[in-house]
Amino acid sequence: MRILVVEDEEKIAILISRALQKAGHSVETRSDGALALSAIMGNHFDLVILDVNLPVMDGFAVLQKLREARNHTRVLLLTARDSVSDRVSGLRSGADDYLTKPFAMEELMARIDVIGRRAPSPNQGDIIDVGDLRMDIRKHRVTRAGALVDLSPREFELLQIFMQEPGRTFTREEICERIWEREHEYDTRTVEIFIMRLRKKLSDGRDETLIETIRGVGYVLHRVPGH
Amino acid sequence: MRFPLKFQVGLYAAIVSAIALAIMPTIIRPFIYHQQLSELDSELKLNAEDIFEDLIARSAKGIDARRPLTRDFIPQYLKLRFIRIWNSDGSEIYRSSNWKDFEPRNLPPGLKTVVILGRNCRVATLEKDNFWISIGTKLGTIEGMQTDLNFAFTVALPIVSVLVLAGAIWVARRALRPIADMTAAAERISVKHPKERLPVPDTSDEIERLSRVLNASFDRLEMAYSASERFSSAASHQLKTPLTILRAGLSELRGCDYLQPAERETVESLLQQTRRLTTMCEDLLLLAQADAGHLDIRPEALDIVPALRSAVDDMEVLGINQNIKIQHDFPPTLVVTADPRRIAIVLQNLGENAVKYNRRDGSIRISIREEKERAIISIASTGPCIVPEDAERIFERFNRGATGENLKGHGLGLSIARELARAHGGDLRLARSDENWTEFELVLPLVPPLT
Repeated sequence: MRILVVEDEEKIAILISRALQKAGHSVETRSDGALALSAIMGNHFDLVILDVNLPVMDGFAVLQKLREARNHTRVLLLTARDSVSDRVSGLRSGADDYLTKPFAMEELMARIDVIGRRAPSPNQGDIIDVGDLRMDIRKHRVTRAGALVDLSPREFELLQIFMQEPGRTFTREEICERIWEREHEYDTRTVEIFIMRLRKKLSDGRDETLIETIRGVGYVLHRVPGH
Repeated sequence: MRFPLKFQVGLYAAIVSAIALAIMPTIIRPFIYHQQLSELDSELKLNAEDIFEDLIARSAKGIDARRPLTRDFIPQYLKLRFIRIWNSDGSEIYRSSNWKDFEPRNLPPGLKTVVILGRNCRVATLEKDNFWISIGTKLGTIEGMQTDLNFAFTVALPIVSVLVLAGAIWVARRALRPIADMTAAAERISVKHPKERLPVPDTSDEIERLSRVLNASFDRLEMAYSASERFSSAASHQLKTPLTILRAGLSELRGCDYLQPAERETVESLLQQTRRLTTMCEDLLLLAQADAGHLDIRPEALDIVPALRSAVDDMEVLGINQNIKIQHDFPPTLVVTADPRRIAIVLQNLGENAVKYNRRDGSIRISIREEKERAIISIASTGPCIVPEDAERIFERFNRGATGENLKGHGLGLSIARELARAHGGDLRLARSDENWTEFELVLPLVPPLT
């Protein structure tokens, strides 16, 4: 994909560009809102990663001008967590997605993949099926091959993260941030323990793992159990 | 017992005027008495002069000076006076009929107060051309005046006191009205309305000066307040950029293939510390917002029981190494008014503390009860007791009490939890702490019944 990174903090821009290039994207950068706007209007980008806090013209203004000009380039907003207002979270600003700073690079890459439709978008319905697992989000029920699996609230949340994006690898820190929203006092071992408990409940004595550990990276839920 | 200022002013004014009224006659009465007496004295002297003139005229006609005088000799206007006339050899030539019951001796010249017929009388004795005259009158009028004065003051005292009391209260109330306005305005000045100021009356008096001085102080307070708020907020925003760079750089490093396991572990722990720093930044920002009074709380009807079950879940896992047992007792559902994200933070902080300050093989009890339109969530844990001196200090920032000095965490957990609970209209308090249990109570408003 051709991606424009709009970020006035040079170091962050460089780090994001490097990660994107490594993932095979072509990247350009701009450091203020006005420059970004003219770049987007004059070129075709598949995606714009847009910081909200920008000199000259802030991210919201850039986005508004774009949409007013009927330019529908996909935009991922970068914002500070405390300023996640309804405007951002409801994506009423016209953004396709948002990420709060500071973010995990893996998560940014995963979001970009989703926006670029390289990865299927997360399962959003009330009932999610992955392999022989079925999750009813409203009723808070999980069954495996029809048999009820009794999960604690956190185990349920954990499985939900995996089932919404099967095949995607989640780092421990991303899981931590998704469930507790903030760094947990204790280390990411908490995640490990929950994963262990979840595996045990899902395996039902069979010698197989639905959730695989990717050494040094994180965890992934497979559609078909591995051994 | 204290009365309002206006009544105090009224009372003091009434007391002062009563004392003044009581003292006044003792000053005024002798003064008036002497004034009237000297007037009387000069009148008596003039009367005597008139009689002398008649006597001299009589002598000029050649009438013997020793011959007694008749009543006709005395002018009509002096008929009521006590009069006695004698000549130089001491023989009396006239005595008025009312000169009774008083020793008829020749008085020395001068003025004298004597008793005639049981009444105080003033008598002037003068000598001229060998004639002596004693002329006197009753002091009744002057003495009556004194009695009247006494009476007037006695009657005036209570009346004037009551009038002064009422008047002073009225005046004080008027004078204090600007103070009442100022008090009301000062009460409105708060974190939420820092721009509000006291009314400054255009009266060039003490009240105007006071309002100006106080307003200047409020200006300085507001400046200091917003400066510290801006500082915390700017500091945590400024920290976010380097944190983002650190995190991105470290996670890029972690993704490198050539890292040795030991190096990877170091990078992992650096990443974790970076995330802790991020959390700390967010906590500081949250406290800055709470201090500034714009903590963003979005309360909704929230069933608190699932949140509590999640908290129990967390505590079980956190306490797994210390073998901590968790007992809980929840109703199937209990709906409170709360912001789910914020309450999650409060419960996480309390849960972490309950594990962190626990002992090996200890216990945690968590329960919830309703009380007067409030839900009270109790989280009790075994472990060291919080001494009474620390009971409030543990809610202060970066303070973990005497028992928590060497434990993990950055000491903001309880103060954040309390700020958030209070921003919800609830509270967080230490309900008890002894050698058995340390119990915190989180109070949250229940969802108001539909009306």
